[in-house]
Amino acid sequence: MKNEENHVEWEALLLPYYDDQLPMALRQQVGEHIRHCPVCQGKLRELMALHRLLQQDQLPPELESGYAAFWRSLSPRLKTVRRPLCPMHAAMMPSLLYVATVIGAHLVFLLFLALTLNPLLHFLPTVDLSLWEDWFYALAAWPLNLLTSNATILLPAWIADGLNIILPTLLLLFLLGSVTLLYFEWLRSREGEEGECTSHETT
Amino acid sequence: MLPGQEPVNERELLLAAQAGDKAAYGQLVQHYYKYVTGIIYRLVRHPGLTEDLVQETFLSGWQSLPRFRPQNDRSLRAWLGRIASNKALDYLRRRKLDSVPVQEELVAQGRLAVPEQAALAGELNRLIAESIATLPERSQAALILREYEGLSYREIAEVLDIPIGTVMSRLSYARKKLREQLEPYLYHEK
Repeated sequence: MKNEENHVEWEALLLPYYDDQLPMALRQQVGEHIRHCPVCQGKLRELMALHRLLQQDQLPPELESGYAAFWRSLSPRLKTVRRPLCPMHAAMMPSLLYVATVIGAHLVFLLFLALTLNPLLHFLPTVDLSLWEDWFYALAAWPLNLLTSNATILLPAWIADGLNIILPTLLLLFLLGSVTLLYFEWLRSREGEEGECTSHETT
Repeated sequence: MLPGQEPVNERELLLAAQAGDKAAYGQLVQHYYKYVTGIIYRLVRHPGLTEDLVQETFLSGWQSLPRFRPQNDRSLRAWLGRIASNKALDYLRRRKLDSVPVQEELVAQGRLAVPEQAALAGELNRLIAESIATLPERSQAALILREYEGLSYREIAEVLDIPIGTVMSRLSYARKKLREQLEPYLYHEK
């Protein structure tokens, strides 16, 4: 309890008391003081009278009831705002980039495979493989030959047969893994939209 | 909130508005329209200007809404109050820089209420408005946010971007000055 004689301190608490901004315990102390202090009672009455007086100052009626007209004029001015990237989505970007790269690489591989095996795929344009006998062909198409019977020229038969089974299987697993990763990333992004992302401070 | 009006689920509306839902934002605007209008009108004291600034406030709110994140100590009310008071205070500062008294400016625009209308609006209202206008702008804002909008000290501090101690000193100063100026009317307002 504060010293009753130290009235300046009580006065300093009067305003937050009046505005109901004090913790309960302190509020009770100040209330107890006011009950016995005519000076503080007078100041409190003044504050209440001032509040009542200020409440006489009302908004003009046209502003008070003008919401409908206000919204009619505001609504057309609300342009669609480009939403910033959610931080959760931003964090996903490296893995999404990785998955996109893997899928892209597979597509390129399948294209080369299709070109290499084009006699079997009648819907693709015929490619003259002799045109690929340059450095690009050597670099890009050589690994593909492992999957074809040409591999038997370069490797013992049992290795080539093994590769012919293992490599496509590995590639298929790799592709399935990437698609699975993509699916989980998509689930994670939905969680972000619904909760985590919205409670994250971005500014 | 108006009688009979459904309570606003602010969080849901906010999320929808942040996703670009204009109807949801419309409901938020309706909920805060009177609050924002009250802040601006009591600072600029002119209905026409108030309408313009309220529009600017809600437009800025719409544009900045995707970046707004409600947290424990940060409410939409305080955030909108900050935009509104900044709009009004910026206007008052520009007016000072232009050195054109607002009354003359408004008369020139034909937007000022004629004296008869002012008389109808009530002498007491005019006195209160004039007394508040004599206060420093920041004290006016603190007083309006507390007396008319009922914001807590913490919310006022956030709206005006000042410490709570400063809020208390500005409120104390504003009330002291108003008590002095309006002393003859304090107990005879009816």
